[in-house]
Amino acid sequence: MSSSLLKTYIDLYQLIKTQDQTHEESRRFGLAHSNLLTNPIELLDAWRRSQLHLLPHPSYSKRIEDILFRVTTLSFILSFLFGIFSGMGLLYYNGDAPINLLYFLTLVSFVPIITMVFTLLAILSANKSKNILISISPTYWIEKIVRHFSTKEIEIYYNPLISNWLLLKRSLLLGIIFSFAILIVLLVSVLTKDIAFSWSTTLQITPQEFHTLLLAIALPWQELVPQAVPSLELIQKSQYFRLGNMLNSQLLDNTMLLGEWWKFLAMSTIVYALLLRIALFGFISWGYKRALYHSILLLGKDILYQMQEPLVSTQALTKETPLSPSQEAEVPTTKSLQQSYPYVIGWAIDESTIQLHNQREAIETAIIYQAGGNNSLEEDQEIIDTIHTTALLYVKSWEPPTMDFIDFLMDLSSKSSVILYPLGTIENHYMPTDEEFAIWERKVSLLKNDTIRMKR
Amino acid sequence: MSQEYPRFAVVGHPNKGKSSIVSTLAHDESVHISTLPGTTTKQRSYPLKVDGVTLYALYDTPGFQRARAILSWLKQEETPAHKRVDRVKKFIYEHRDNPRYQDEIELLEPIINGAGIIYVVDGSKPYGVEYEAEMQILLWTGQPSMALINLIDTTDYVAEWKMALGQHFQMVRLFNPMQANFAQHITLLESMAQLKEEWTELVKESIKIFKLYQQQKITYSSELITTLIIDSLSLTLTSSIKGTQATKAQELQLTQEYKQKLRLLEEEAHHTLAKIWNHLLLEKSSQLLLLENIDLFSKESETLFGLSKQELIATGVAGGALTGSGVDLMLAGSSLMLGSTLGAVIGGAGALFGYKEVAQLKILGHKLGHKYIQVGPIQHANFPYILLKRVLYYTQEIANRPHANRAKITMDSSLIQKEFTLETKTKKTLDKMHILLQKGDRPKEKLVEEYKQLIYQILIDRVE
Ligand SMILES: Nc1nc2c(ncn2[C@@H]2O[C@H](COP(=O)(O)OP(=O)(O)OP(=O)(O)O)[C@@H](O)[C@H]2O)c(=O)[nH]1
Ligand SMILES: [Mg+2]
Repeated sequence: MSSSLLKTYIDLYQLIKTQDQTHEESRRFGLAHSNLLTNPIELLDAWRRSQLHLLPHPSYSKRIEDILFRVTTLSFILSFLFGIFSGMGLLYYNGDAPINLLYFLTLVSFVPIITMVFTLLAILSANKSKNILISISPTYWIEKIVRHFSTKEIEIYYNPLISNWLLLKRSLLLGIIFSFAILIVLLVSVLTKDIAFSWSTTLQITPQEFHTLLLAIALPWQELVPQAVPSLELIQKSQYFRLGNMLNSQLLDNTMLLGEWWKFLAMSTIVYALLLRIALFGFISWGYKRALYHSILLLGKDILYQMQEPLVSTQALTKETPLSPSQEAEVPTTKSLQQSYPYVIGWAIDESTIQLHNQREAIETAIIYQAGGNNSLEEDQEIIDTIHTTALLYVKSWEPPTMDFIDFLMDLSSKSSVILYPLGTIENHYMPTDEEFAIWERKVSLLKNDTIRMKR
Repeated sequence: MSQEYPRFAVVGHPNKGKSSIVSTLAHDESVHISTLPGTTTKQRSYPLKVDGVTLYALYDTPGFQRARAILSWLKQEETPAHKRVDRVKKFIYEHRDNPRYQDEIELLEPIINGAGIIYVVDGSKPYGVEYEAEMQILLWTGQPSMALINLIDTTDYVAEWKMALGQHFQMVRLFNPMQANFAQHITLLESMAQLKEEWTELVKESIKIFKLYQQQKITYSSELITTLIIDSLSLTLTSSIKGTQATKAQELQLTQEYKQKLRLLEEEAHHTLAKIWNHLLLEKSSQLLLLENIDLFSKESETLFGLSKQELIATGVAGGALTGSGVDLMLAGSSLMLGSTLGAVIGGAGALFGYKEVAQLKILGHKLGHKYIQVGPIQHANFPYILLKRVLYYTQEIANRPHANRAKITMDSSLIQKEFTLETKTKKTLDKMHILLQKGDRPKEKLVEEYKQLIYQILIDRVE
């Protein structure tokens, strides 16, 4: 991956928050990069790169990287200077009295061990948003302040998963720089002046006990660098008692020997303050990277889903021609029927049903015709040919009038006047519903033929 | 290649629900459906596409208008069975410009191009001989065919229709486009798969895709619902006030705004849901989200550094502020370069000294003593469920709504609350998140995921 994971994460964050991606667009991208479909991080990064031009300048990632750079530079310098000053203070030697090595030893072995224990504890809870151990870290404060001076909207940084790890990582780096500065001061001091180390404490500790403690500290390098392991003799000779202004005369005799301590102190610094921290740094870098991977996947979950899910569409691709507005018109209607008609025609209605309706309406007729239905067009034509004057035409109201019927009706109406009688279903007692009647009425009205009337 | 996939032409008498069936099968709400016969005038195709590849296509067509005339034309010449489809093609070829036969040409064209026939009738009306001519014509095309009996009304003439249709069609099925649920849709597709051996594979594939499509929609819906809940429950509005107390008018205005915002969130979510389920045209007779008996003023809080009181105490900024200046803070920080525990002492002090004093402090020249009133998050214990049940109900209605059914969706509050009874176990997980949000905390991604999953489960059970 070309750019840093953090940048990928922040850009993704900004893109996802500001850009609306449709399933179609995502899926098209996914298909175009199908070789990456099994590698989600790479896929997301490829997508990010394809979208970068959409981000406003400067992007969040640029701004955050700027902040981080400022914070890093500032804190590294401070930390280095602080290390130099601390080292100079601790190794300050004017020849009056030897330097109590306990201070130095504490700073380069006990403090690192304690802070690293804290760091380990912090790692355990690194994924929590409110992590008190994190807020201990000076980096946290520096960043808070720098952030206050820059932009507020970078809430992204609140992602604890990432910021906590990042903080841990950088806190550790500060420790390393600080210790490195101290080591330099130690080595420079040893090179440029003669320093006498001693040890003294108010506690009742015999040189033997102290020896045991130091042996334990020196355990990691006792094989490799035996010169850097203090001997009991050295310890005995460098115990220092301050009695008024009197200096232990034995101590003065051993000034040359007392310088030997620096090897032990240097090794303590290298092993505890540096190597151990570097190892932990490596571990945290790994954890940070993992947290970033995790965060990126979480962030890109929806878009990955869209890239991986097939795009389904079921709808028509074209627009339907808009409905023409229906022209409503009235057709002359008649409520009552005559007692007799010369012709009664049923459209797709069989003879017995026609007779039934004639009886129901008490209509007498000489001739009953069945038209439509299974008739051939010729048969229908023959019916029309015989007709003149008036015809009563039964139709099924529930069947919509087809053009087949309209053809017949037009031919019929040119020969005689027509009473069109839409019949309802048995369930409706042969009455057409309003809707059914309206459909027929509308159709007939479009014919603009005044020889046709409708029975209602 | 483009000719390979199965096609199905939905044909029949005018006004018998052809377009309704297509609308429901294609999940397309744009299909014109009306009580007037002759609504559809042109064939229109509804392809099922997966990543741009068509698996099958449905055709909506106009109804038969002059079936007898065409049949008599077809029969003018003695034609052996294996040549009949050519005769139909010839009819189309010769009458392409004849306006009298436009409807039939539109409906026959997909069929002679290889589409299977889905013949639609209304089983609530009696069978009639006037259907015979059109069934004959369909037989002449020689294409695989099935009949669908649609029940537009409550009356039942299905038996006689089955007798008649059975003589002309390979298969006769019942299908109601206004009520069909997802399972019935799938069953119909399974029947369609049987129409022709060559199609079986692709139609079965289509079924899989439809199921996947349904799952996608449910996934999107549960994501959306979860977002709505998070956004609504964590919604706060603040306004800075002069003096120590807000005026009544100020409170009123802020609560008005707050309610407005909540309703807007819901409205937007419903709109997106409608979009997910392709139901954007569907109207909703909505009862507004009622917020009358809910106390919107949950807590009054001041903010510092843009952080809430809780955050301040937890992070210890308050502690830093106590030392008087940010510069001090920074120095304190760097003097603890090695990470001593002193930081915690400082941080803890913030909690000890309380927040009020801190808020009055000036830090780095920024006045931080501003007072704000804040509306929300709503603390009402039942409020999350009112919201959740409403959106679940809406989703359920819209997801189960066949696209031919365009009646309004009614959001009746009492009905909605009754409709959903959630299991205690489900409720527990839901509560976990609700409580967090109502406290003003951000839920962890894992919890959000769990929530989404639960919503998904609820929806899966309710979307047939
Ligand atoms: N209640 C009910 N109404 C239905 C059903 N199917 C169709 N309808 C109604 O019947 C009418 C006609 O439906 P369409 O789908 O437009 O019929 P069509 O066959 O496409 O009609 P044309 O395009 O005009 O040939 C509409 O008013 C529909 O609402 C059904 O299953 N139940
Ligand atoms: Mg139609």
